This record gives sequence, C-alpha cells and structure tokens, in this order.
Amino acid sequence: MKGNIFVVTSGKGGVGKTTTTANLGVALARLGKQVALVDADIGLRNLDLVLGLEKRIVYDVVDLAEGRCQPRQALIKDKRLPGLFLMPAAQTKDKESVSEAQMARVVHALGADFDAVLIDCPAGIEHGFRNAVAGADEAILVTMPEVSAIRDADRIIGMLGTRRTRVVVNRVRPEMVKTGDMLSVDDVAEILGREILGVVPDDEEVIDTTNRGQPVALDATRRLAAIYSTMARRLLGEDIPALELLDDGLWSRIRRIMVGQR
Amino acid sequence: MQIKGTKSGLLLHMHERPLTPVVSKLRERLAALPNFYRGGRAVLMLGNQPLEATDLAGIIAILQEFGIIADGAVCDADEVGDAARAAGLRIVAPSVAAAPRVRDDRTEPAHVRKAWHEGGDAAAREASRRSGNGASKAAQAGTPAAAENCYYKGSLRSGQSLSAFGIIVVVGDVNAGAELIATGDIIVWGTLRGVAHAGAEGDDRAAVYALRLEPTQLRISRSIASAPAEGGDARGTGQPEVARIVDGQITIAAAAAVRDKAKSR
Amino acid sequence: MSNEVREHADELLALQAPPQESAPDVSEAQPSEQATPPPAAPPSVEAQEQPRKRSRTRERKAVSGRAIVVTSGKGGVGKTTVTANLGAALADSGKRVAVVDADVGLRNLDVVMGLENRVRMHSLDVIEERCTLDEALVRDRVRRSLMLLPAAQNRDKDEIDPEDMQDLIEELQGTFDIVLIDCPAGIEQGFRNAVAGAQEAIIVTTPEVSAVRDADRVAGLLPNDMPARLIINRLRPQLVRKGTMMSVDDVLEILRLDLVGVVPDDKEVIVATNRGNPVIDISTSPTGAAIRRIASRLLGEQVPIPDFPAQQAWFARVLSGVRFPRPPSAKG
Repeated sequence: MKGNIFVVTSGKGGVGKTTTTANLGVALARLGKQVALVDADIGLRNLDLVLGLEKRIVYDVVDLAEGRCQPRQALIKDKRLPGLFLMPAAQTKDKESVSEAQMARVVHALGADFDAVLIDCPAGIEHGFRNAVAGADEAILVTMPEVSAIRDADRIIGMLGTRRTRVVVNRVRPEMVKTGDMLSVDDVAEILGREILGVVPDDEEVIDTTNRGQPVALDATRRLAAIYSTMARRLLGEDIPALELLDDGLWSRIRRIMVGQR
Repeated sequence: MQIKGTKSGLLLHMHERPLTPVVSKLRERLAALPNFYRGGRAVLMLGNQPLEATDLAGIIAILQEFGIIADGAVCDADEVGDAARAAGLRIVAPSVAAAPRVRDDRTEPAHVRKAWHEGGDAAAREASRRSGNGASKAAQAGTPAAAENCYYKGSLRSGQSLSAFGIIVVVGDVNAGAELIATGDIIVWGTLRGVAHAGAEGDDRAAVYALRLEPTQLRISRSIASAPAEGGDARGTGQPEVARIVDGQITIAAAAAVRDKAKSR
Repeated sequence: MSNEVREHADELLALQAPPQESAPDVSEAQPSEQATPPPAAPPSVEAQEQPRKRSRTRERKAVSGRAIVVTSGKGGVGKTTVTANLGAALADSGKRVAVVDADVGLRNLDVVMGLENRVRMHSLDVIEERCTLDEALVRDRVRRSLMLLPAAQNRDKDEIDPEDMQDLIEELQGTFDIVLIDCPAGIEQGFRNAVAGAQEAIIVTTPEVSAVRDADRVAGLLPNDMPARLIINRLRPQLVRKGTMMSVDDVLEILRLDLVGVVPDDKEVIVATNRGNPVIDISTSPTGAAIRRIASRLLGEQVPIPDFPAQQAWFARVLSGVRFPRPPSAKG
C-alpha cells in the first residue's frame, strides 16, 4: 500500500471536520504529494462545496462502489494544485446506499495510488460514521475546546479501536482560554489522552473561504496556511515539536499552556 | 422497461414480468437509434422476480446485435442472480440511483413515505416496488412505451431527484443538490440551481428551459457543462433562458431570442 | 475559573458508564494488508438478551400537547442550545415543557442545561421498561415546569425505532403543553426517530452555504404534512454587510420556509453552555432576547423580527430594557 488512509472524524457536528479535511488536503498537495479526499457524508455532502468543486461532479462514491464507473471517472482533479483530488459523496442517496465493505474497498484502492487519503466523516456515530471509518488506518479527531465537543470526541475515541488517533484542536480562542471560559489545549490533550496533531485558532474569515470554495490553506500568506502545513508534515511522519506552531506573540498564551505536549 | 443513458453506458430497467414483451420493445427502441450506443456497455437492472433464461439470452443477443456489451446485472433476489450469472453476466450491487423517484408526498404514495420514515431508503424502495411504479404498470398493460412526461408542481429540495422517460416540467424551484433527468426536454418554471440532464438517452436536440438558469451543472445528451467558476455573482441574467447544444457545445441563450428565431422560420 | 470548566468536563467524562456497557468497537475493514486483528468487542450485558420493549399503543390518542422536533441536518448549528433555551423561555411563559434528547450515544442536552449530574435513567430505560417515564424525567434546576428526558450515552440510535419514539412522545404530550425534541445531526435513523414523534418541525440553520444546503435536504425529508419553520442562527450582521456572510433574504430565497426567528451570534453563548446555564438568563444577550421572541411567536404572538444592523449587539447590551429575573447560578 502506498499511502496512509486517515479518517477525519469528531462525533460532534460543526467542529470543522470538512474544513480540516479540505485544508489538510491542500497543505499535503502543496508539499508535492498526491492526495485523495473522500467525502463520506452521503446525502449531506459538503466537502465539494468547501473545495469549490461542486460544479464538476459527475460521478460519486456511490456510483463507484456500485460499479457504475471507474475510479478515475469519480475523482475530480483540483485545477489549482497538481496532486489534489476529490472523490465526492452522492447527494440524492443516503448513507445506507453503501456498505462498510464497499467503502473499505474504495479507499483501499485509492490508498494504492495516492500518498495520502483523507476521509471526511459525517457527524454522529451511525451508519455513515461506520462507513467512513471502515477503511481507515488512522484517525484525525477534530474537536473544539468546548464541553459537548470534548465529550463526543471521547466517545468516538472509544469507537476507533486500535487506530492511531491524533487530535486537532480547532477554533481555539486564546482570549477565552485566558478568562477560563474555554478549555486550554493542555486540558484537551489530558482529557482525551491522545497526541495533538495541531491547534487551529478561530478565524472568522474561515467562513468566508468556506462559502467561496477557497480553502484558506491555499493562501500561503495566511497564518492558518502555515499551521495546516505543519500538520501535514506531521502526518507525513516529520517530528515537529509543538512550539514551532507559535511564531506570533499573539499566541504566547498557548505557548505557556502547551507545556505537556509531546 | 426503462432505458437510462449515462456517460459510460446504459442502465436498463427490467423489473416487470414476463420479460418476453420487453425483448421486442428493446429491439424497437434500439432500432430507432441503431448506432448511437454501439461500442458501449449496458447494465441490466433485473429486479427480484424470477425470469426465463431464454428471455435473458434474447436481451443479451439484441444488445450484441447493436454492438452493446451487456456485462453487468443488478439482481434483488438470489435466483435472479443465479440466472444472470448463468447467462454470463457479472453481478453488480443494487443501485439506489437507477429507480426514478422523488422524496416527496406529492408524487410518492403515503405508504412509501411511511416506509422511508421507518426503515430508510431500502424500505421505501421495497414498498415502492411492491406497489409497482408507473413504468412497470404501463408495460404490463401492453401499451407501447408511453412517454411518462412528468409535471411537478412544487420545488425540489437538495437531495431530491426526478427522472422521466419524456419531458419534465417543474413549476417551482430546483435547489442546488437536486437533480432532474429526462430523456426529453426539461422546463423549470422557477429557478434552476441544481443539475439538469435533458436528452438523457442521447437526444442532442433536447433543451433545458428555466425562468432563471443558475444550474450547478447542465447536461444535454452526452455533453456536460459546468456553470462558470468563481468571479462575481453566480446568478444568471435573471431573464428566462434556454440551454441547448449548438455546434456541439451547450450554449445558453435568452429565451426571447430563441422564440424570435423560431417565429422567423 | 479555568478549573471550573475543566472540572465540569472531567465530571462529564466520569459520568460515562463503565466500559462493559459500551458499544463494540468499530471493527477494521478486511482484507487489509496490515492484517491487524480487529479489536475484541467488550462484553455487553444488554446485547446478550433481547431487551423487552413496552407494549405499543395501537391508536394515537387525542393529545393536547404540541410535539416539535428541532432539526438541522448540519451539526453544530445550535439545535441543542436552541432547544434548551427555547424550552426555558416557554417554561417562563407558564407552559409545562418537556425537552427530549434524541441523540442516543452522543447526548448533550443534559450538559447544556447543566443537568448532567442529575441524570439517572434515560429514554431507552423507559422503552425497555426498566423505569417509568416519570422516573426518567429530570426537573430543571431553576424552572419547575421544565423537564428533561435524557438519552442513553452508551447505546445506539438504531436500538430505538420510530414507533417507540411516537409512543414516548405521545405519553409526554399527555402531561406537557409542549414537547421539544432535540434531533441529532444527520439524516439517518436518529433523525428519522426524532421526526417520527413530532407533529411540527423547527429547522435551524446558520447563514452559510453548507448549513443551508443541509437544511434544504432536511426540509425535503420531512413529512409533507408537517409544518416546518426556520430559525436562522448565529447571524453576524457586520459580516453580512461586508458581503462575506449570507443575508436572511439569501437564506430564505433558497429555503422558502416560514421564518420563526433570527438569532444573532454572541460570544456569551459558548460561555453559558460551557457552564450549563441558559443564555436567555443573560439579560444583555441579544441571543437570549431573540430566543424569547421565538418562544412568543411559537405561542402565537405576533412579534416582529427586528432588523439587525451591525451595531445591534452593542446597543442591545447598553439599552436593553428587558430584564429577566436572574436565577441563582448553581456554580460559583
């Protein structure tokens, strides 16, 4: 098998799985890798929107799973970056349209051709979640420093078995950590007991990039792009210590808090 | 029987029994466009009712005659699967896409809707199959493949889909994430934001009309056109427009211009 | 203060039932070249026997209470927060309100209401006849006429079927004026169950393309005879003005639903939910005020939806004449 297959999951909806999948994909592609992003949210697809590729969908993962098309026909090549491909979900079907075995076959086949496969998992722990997880070797658990999100993340960890699970702490607001109204990254790491892949500060412009289909990681001048790039490098096996994330005085509070990080 | 054209080949719906009349119907249909599918592939949707091996062989033979390779079958019952395999067909997983349906009370009977709420898509399909859909009823009545034009009053929401062997008219909007598939023309008396596929069986003269044409994607026959990418407003001109194939490409023109042209003929 | 939130989180996790009741791990797909053996499923007490379910009522009785499902499709748009706060606001209007957490396995309504310490039984316990409905209902800490029916945390959504939900909700409608059902994200069995018990729907969306798309999907999946109304949550007027967020009109143009309320975004909300306090009790919160207006509209009052100019948030804090009685907060 060529590359690793990661499922990007969370349990709680709205914490940023799809945005994270898109931006990590972009970051990996910018590092010169061949990346396949798979949208497993059948019936509620959004990865195509976030990537701005919705107008080019002809075939989707259900068509592929049912043998109505070849993999190359279902993959959409992003024109902005060589190496970035999307396998869209179907919108007019529902999650019972594919089985876990079918999903696993699809992603394993992709894994043979790509350096990395990222599967965007639907919210929840139902059939869609099981499908998304079915073929994955490792998990990227996206969460927010907020009690409901952490609780759901904890539940998910229990359902990921022995897969290596790394946590992305998303939408952190340092000022709220300071006033004690938000859990610190350190707290999150300790509660969930898993390695931290990265910390992403809350940024109101992310909504705009999502609406316009231009993932923020495309813009090398943005601080968030550097953060996703570091996460991508970690996924590829580089050992980058946490403190490298913090190059800006604004985040010095996080620096102090992230003492316990590996 | 229904024939649905996709970019990579045909999907033939053959749920009704007996299959014998379908054999000749298929020949008629293909004879109308003898070379269109030549070299292509076909997947047979055979349903769950037992069938005669000779009928199946007959269908495969006709397809072969027109240069179409029948290489897959979707079977909803073991014995149908056995028969398909015996005839040399590969078994493909059941498809939700193939059967025309729209997730809405107005065109779906109450018991199918109820089945969906209780058991999801699979249960709804089963309930629908049990009660029989329009296509199989027509076939059983022995009437020739009557056009099943679809006249739908209301808007289609994301994830809903309407297919017809004939023309589709929607009086309402078609939201992004919804799709219309017709072998004939498509007319949307409202805003078309979703995907519309007219001339789905290969009719290059089919057209898509809308009061506001802002589709995610347009397909006519075998051509596909995406809405222009980024940059400014995705909205159309706000005027009624029609999309059709001109010189091999999907082109959009103001409805008024088309109408005037038609007049001057 | 950070400790307070941290302790709260710790408590939540400690409250999860011990491992032997949890659902079996998701097995890894085969065949896999890595050939790691799938994790062994922990023994599950309940899985070994078919749980006995209570007998179904055959016909729907005439019920007096209203049953409203709060749904969205997209996760994270605020269903649970809206459900909890709407429940509280309706209770303040003198109604007897039951809020039902339909998110089996990922329950959060108890947390948002600050009741997680008081949860003993849940809806599956009622369905499987281990307790009565009364025994499972948890009374709100502050509002006597507001009760919560919690979801199980260590079970799965497909262990409940739509008829179970219908019976449960029907029974609640016999005692409560309004039953609010907090629907899980998605459109799978959990969603179908939540909808099965309701006669009305409130769809919550945020003014973002993905959320609106999902809300549209959900609207198309609701029974055709179910009245559905829309709440637009987390509106940020300054971003609408900048052109980086959809406006109310943009959203309505696609969804075409009756608008029952527009709720502006407010940082106070996450603070309140982290502590298990209702945001409607924060008198300076425009979010809280908006939810109170929605409650009034649900009860039939004609309350106009205000325009939200960019400065509204600031003005509301300074000029708000609406003062709600501040309940004593449970946590220092």
